[in-house]
Amino acid sequence: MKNKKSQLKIQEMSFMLVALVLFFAIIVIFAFAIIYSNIQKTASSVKEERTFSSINVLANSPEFNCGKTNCIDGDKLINILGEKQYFNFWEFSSLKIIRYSAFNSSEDKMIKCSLDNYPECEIFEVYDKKIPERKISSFAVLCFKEQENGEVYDKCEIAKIIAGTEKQEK
Amino acid sequence: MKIGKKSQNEIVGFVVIVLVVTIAGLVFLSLSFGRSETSQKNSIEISNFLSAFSYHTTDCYIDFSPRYLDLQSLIKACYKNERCIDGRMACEAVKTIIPELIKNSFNIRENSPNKAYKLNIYYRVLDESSKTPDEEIFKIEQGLFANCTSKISAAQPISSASFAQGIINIELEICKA
Repeated sequence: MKNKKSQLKIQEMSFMLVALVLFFAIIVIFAFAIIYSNIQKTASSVKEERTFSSINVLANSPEFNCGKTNCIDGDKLINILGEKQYFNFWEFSSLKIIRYSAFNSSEDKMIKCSLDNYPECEIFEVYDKKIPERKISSFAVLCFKEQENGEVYDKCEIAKIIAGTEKQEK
Repeated sequence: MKIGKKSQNEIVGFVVIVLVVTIAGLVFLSLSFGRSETSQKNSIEISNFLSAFSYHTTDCYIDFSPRYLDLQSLIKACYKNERCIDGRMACEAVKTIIPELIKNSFNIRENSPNKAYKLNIYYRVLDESSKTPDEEIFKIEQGLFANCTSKISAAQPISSASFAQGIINIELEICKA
């Protein structure tokens, strides 16, 4: 009788131990899942911020900059469209600048800029490597010279820089 | 036999308690960690937008054509209660130009990824010892600012020699669907 009671006590304890181990295992799994997903979120947001910053650097580069921060000179821009030496100059697989007037139009309906129609156009296609890519856009100000009453002035407008980054094969 | 039954009852009770504690723990954990809090973060995209936005040429000029004001000068003119040459108050021009710029740039619509925004332009005295409250210049909220999955925001100061004692600050917050 006494033996049976001890057996039951042992059984009770083993039940408790199993339950406790299960309980803590679940907590640890939960914690790991949460920490891992947070790390992944942070990594992707850091990557995104880095791309945004590099787009910003682009607008401040001498090839584009108009003299102000985050500003693109339209007159410089029109002269580098389609220049093959820029294909590998920047880390992007494609680079386009969309004027404010075309923000809500679809890309295929936009009037492409060339030396013939500038500045009466909507999209500057600097280059496009035509490879699978992920597009990221940011804002910059686009300035060009306008003339009114015999006086030349800088007309600036918000523009979207759309840069493509090559899709990484997983 | 009596002792055996008692022990069995004890075990069943114990297992029930362990199960209840485990379930309660799981519920607590899933509630505390899994709750979808609206994340709020500073955005480089909005920051870039605000810096570009400051230089956007408006259709208002104060002295002679074609000296069109850029948006930051228009905001300053609004703060000083100036008028455009066509008779509009600078603040009226601010009220029409800014909402349109934001709406078009971020495609703010109910069913789009950016569903609402808040913009606050105010003057702040830089002297920390003076407890002067911020002076509102222009404030607007468009769209439904509820159930946002995340909120992104940025601020951009407009400094000028004419506001030596303070700055004009532009704050923009966007609600992501």
